[in-house]
Amino acid sequence: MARKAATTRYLLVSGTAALALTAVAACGSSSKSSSSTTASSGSAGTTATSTSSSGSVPATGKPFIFLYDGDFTSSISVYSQAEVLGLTVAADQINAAGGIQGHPIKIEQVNDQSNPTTAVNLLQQKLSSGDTPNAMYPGGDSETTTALLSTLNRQKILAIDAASASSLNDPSKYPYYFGDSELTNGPIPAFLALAKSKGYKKIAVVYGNDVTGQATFQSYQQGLAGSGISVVGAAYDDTAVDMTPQLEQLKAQNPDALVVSGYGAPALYIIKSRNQLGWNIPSYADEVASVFPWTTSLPASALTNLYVEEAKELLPANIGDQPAISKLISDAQAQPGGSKILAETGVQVVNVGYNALEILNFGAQLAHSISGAAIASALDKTGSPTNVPWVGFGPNDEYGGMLYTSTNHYPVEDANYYVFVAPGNINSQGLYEAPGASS
Amino acid sequence: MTRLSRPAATVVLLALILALPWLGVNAYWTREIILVAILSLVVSGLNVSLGYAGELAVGQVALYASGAYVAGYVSVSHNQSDILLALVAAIVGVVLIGLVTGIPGLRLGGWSLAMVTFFLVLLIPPVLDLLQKQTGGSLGLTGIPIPTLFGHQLNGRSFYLFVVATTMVWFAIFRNLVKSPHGNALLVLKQSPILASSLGISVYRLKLFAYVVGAIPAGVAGVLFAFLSGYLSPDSFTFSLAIEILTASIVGGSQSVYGAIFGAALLQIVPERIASFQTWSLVVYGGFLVLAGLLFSDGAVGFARRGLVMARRRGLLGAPASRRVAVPTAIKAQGALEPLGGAVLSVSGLSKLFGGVAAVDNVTLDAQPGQVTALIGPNGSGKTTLLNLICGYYRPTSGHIALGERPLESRSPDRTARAGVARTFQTPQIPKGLTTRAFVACGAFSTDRIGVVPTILRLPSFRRRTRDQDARSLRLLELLGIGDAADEAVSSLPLGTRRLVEVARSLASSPKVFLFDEVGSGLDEEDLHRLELAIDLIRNAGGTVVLVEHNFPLVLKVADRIHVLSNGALLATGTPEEIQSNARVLEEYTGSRVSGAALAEVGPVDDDDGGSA
Amino acid sequence: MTTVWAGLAIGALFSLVAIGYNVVLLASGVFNFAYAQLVMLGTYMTYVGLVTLHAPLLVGILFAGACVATIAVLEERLAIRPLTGRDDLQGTLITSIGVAIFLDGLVLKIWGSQPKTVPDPVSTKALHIFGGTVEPSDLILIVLVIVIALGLHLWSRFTPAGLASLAAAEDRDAAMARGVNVRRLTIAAFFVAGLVAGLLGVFVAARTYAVPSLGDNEALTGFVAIAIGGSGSQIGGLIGGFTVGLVNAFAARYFNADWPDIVVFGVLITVLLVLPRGIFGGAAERRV
Repeated sequence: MARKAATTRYLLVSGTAALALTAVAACGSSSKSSSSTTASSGSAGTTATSTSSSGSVPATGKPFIFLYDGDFTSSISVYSQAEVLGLTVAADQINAAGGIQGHPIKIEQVNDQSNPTTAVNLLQQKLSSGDTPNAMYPGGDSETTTALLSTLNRQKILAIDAASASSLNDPSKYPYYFGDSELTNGPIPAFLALAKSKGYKKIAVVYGNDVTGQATFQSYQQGLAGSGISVVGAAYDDTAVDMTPQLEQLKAQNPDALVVSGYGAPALYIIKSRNQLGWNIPSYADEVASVFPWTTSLPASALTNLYVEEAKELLPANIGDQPAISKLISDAQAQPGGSKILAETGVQVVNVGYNALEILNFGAQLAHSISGAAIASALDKTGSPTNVPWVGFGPNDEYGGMLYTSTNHYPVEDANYYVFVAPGNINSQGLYEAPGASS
Repeated sequence: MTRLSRPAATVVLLALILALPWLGVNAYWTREIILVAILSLVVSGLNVSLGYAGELAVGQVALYASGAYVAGYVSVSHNQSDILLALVAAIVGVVLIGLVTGIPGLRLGGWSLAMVTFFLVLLIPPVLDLLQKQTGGSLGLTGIPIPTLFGHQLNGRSFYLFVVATTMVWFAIFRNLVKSPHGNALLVLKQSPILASSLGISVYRLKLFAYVVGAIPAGVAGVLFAFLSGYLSPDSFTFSLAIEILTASIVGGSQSVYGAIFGAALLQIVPERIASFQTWSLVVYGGFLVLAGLLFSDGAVGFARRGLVMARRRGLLGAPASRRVAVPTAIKAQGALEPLGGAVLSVSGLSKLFGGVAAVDNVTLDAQPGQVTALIGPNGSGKTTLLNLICGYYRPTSGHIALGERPLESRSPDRTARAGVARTFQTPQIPKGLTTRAFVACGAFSTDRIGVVPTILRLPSFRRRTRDQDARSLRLLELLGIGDAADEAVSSLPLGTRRLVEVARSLASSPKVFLFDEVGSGLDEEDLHRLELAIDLIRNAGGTVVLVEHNFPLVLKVADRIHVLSNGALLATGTPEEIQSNARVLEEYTGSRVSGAALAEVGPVDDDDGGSA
Repeated sequence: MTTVWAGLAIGALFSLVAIGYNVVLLASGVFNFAYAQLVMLGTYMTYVGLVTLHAPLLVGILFAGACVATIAVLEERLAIRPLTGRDDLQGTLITSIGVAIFLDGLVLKIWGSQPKTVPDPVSTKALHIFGGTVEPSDLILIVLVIVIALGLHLWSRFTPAGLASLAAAEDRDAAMARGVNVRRLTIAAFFVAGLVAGLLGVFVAARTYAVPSLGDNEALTGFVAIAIGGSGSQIGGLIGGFTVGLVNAFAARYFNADWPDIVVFGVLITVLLVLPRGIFGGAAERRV
């Protein structure tokens, strides 16, 4: 009797397993195509529908394939979704106006699960199956981008993303690669101005012991060195749940201000530790930590003397400065699942995706071509454009600074790009709502 | 398959795999095959320590990363694209690191070893960070050149050929190594380090050997990976990878040579497919691992076997074939052994104190060649402690042990065994996965060593000596009347046969003294008879036999001299007749003054208080 | 001194994980890799109880305890028992890792990646003790962990059931032959481990918030804690956990972030080389 039960169970389980494995192997293809009218939000196996949306001039001709590579599995998946949201909105707008040099844009996405080797695999898969993309968003973090660029470079495929390592800003090595969000040293000029105005002589930085964190610390060191302000730092491991030792180390060096670099739980732990130590030092959450929903995670009493470095144009008060952002927000909210993503990640992340395509299109218009090489050399001569199609900051994007040249492929913001505000929260429009004035 | 068509089919299969890129397989699948090959190298390294040596040494990822970064460093900072140079450098590096990280494994076992080696994976990012100049730290190492072999660039198809060929070479080496006395020694180690030392195997050396052998393919895989990617970052060497490697090893079958390839293929392809489940990926992957663990934990082969067994039981595959059970045939004197050069085993003034208790108290006795010397005594009398002292498992508190001229008291168990002491265990430690003849041949592993190089290369000297060892095993088994059991799995034998197998195994090492620990306990009449004949054979061939026994009638039958122990001290010594009529001995055993004849009638003392002191 | 408190606070977390590992290890010889995830679930279930369901504090704590205990027992039934029946412990490593990943994914999917704030059980005003600052909830966690570990230790030495579980850890077959119901012991062990994780969830969450990454962060370090202290010894797990916490804190205080892991590893190796079975001798050094 027990034997029969064991056999039955064995057959059931192995049968189910076999079915499951077959289903996974068959249905699971490692890439997903989404049309520009449906924002992807995570279900497997949706079919790509055709792309024409209601608009004046329908785009015809061979699709222009834009490949987005990101992590859709781990806790950062919502950021990948936000970037794809932005790409989708841009693609819709461009397609409605006739496409990119007449070609309809088709967005494809692949999931690299934050593994650079997987990312390269997925790209290789596309290339060898004849599905060569016309342009690509190579992963968005420095390791994945670096891993992918050698292949993309060889194939002369245009790549644009928001990685932040300055080693990637090397047009001589990567002529077809551009960044559409500032490097880790972007926020430095604004901070330097603040530090000087407050008379700070020594800055402490607490940062994560990974690529972004280390690059951030280096940026502060290099950026402030020339002005006679010394910078000390302490790193924490990404798995740490308590930063008291690191803060103690910094406190012992008597700094005038503290820069908090970290996103998510680490940012929380840092402020918690700071309060536990009773260390009432002016603290500034850097760009990485700025989009964190501070006010929903901590009571106001815990947030004293904490300021967030935020892009000026992300404050609701300044929304009038750039009409494009309002349209971006409303278009994004119109997409299925868009409002939720927008409210969780903030419009800046959506912007990264949106700008990528708009910049590409701008270059294609200048070059009258969609070839990677042609667009790249056109973008090298962007100079000081006016009436930009992307969401820049300032009426002519003078703050956003997408001033590509043949020696610089990353935006350069000036000190006015950022302001320091009290900690706030992302509202339903994806803007940063900070109660209280800037510091 | 006929003997000729097997190798031919293998060659054809290998040629086919090598030719795949020219047969229309595209660049993506070529790359996938390369990745599977690389992963299977790492997994097979784990198979050596996990499947063969039985160690949960799961730090392969650290060795893999080391190989990759050594290759990366050598090629980038020295502007060297030669792949052979990178391989040599990486192998050297990985062997050193494998030895160093293997040292804790010498003292640890079980879960502790697993934890320590898992932790090694966590150390990869900080160590890379500290060596930032050489490794690029967390940002990674870029600019690894396209590899060259003798000046020719290895790119695309030629790189594929190199990777697949290297993998094939490794698996040939691996197979030759584990399907040999060396592999058998590892299986013995896996079952019981105590058994291994009693066979003269130095447990430390064999473990280190296993770590080194397991480290090499991981290092090679690292080199291939570095050149494949052109770029290295710590993100490629994560804890998830360590789990994939462990799962692949177990699912493919840790003891299967080629199972590593199956496991690697599964763990390379399935997780990639699961990525399409996006935010559900982790849930699906977790479920996949649970299923894989439940179904395949004894390997794919084990899974199939269980299915077959169940199918047969349910009558789905017809009546089960009647199994030939190895029933030893009755033996007469089937021959004689070659002369055994037995030596005199002498113990003088030997004492062993545990805390304040003297388990062995000033014992002096000896055992002569060509004689059977029996050691008897009630429970707690110190018989087994004495045996363990002679074998080197304990250090004496005072006194001397000598075998012929050579002192034994300060030797470790494996050195004692190599000096010519052969021992059987009351509870035979029987390794899984060996045939009886192979297990018996293990007895000769350290006395008749075959080198590693002839083993790997299957040189004529290897073939000749394994054939000789095997023939000798068979002959010993037949002499003892259990020749039928030669090809059975030794772990499936009944108790009586196992005891005789132990005797055969001890004979295989041509020892100078035989120590039989309760070898007759639990045997029925027929098996006891066979045992007596076996002991006779050894005595007649001039061997020195020490018999520790509870079974008084057996002792009376075979012993030439009997030493009686009580409370750790020697109570009496003499011939069987003398001991039988010794009143003090009788009192010890039965608690009353009964005549010797009556004692012999009592029959075998109840065996299930077989725990000895 | 604040560094000491910091070390003890995170050490308490590691010790908690070690306790969970040990309880199950002692009863069944199985290493439940998913225990750190159960601790994480404890924080989330507390969040559900106190925030989503607006229950009062005590009810919320009991709710969390019940939920996690149930999930732990489910894990035993589905992923562990089929293998222990076959006396196959290697496989349990893989299935318990699978459960860990499954729980990680489930939590991420249901609650997202942002940390969830759990209402503080006690005031958050830092205390000044022995010249260092410490949060009250951390102090409570430290005390509770010590009490639980000691309680379990005493239980295992002085009650029949406890001794039975020690016996089962040493030699499962022998214990079964003597009438010890190892299967029931195993279920009970999983239940207790899950219960502890759930009940303490509110204090853990006061330090770490409810985050999906909690499991990953604590799992391996929990290993190290029991390796140092000796697997199967509750006291050893305590000492191991606090040792690792203190080493971590001091290394981070005086060196940079690359060193804590390396130093901890160094301590681990040193301890194991000198005392191969950990400080208190592993009762459950069962070879796979």
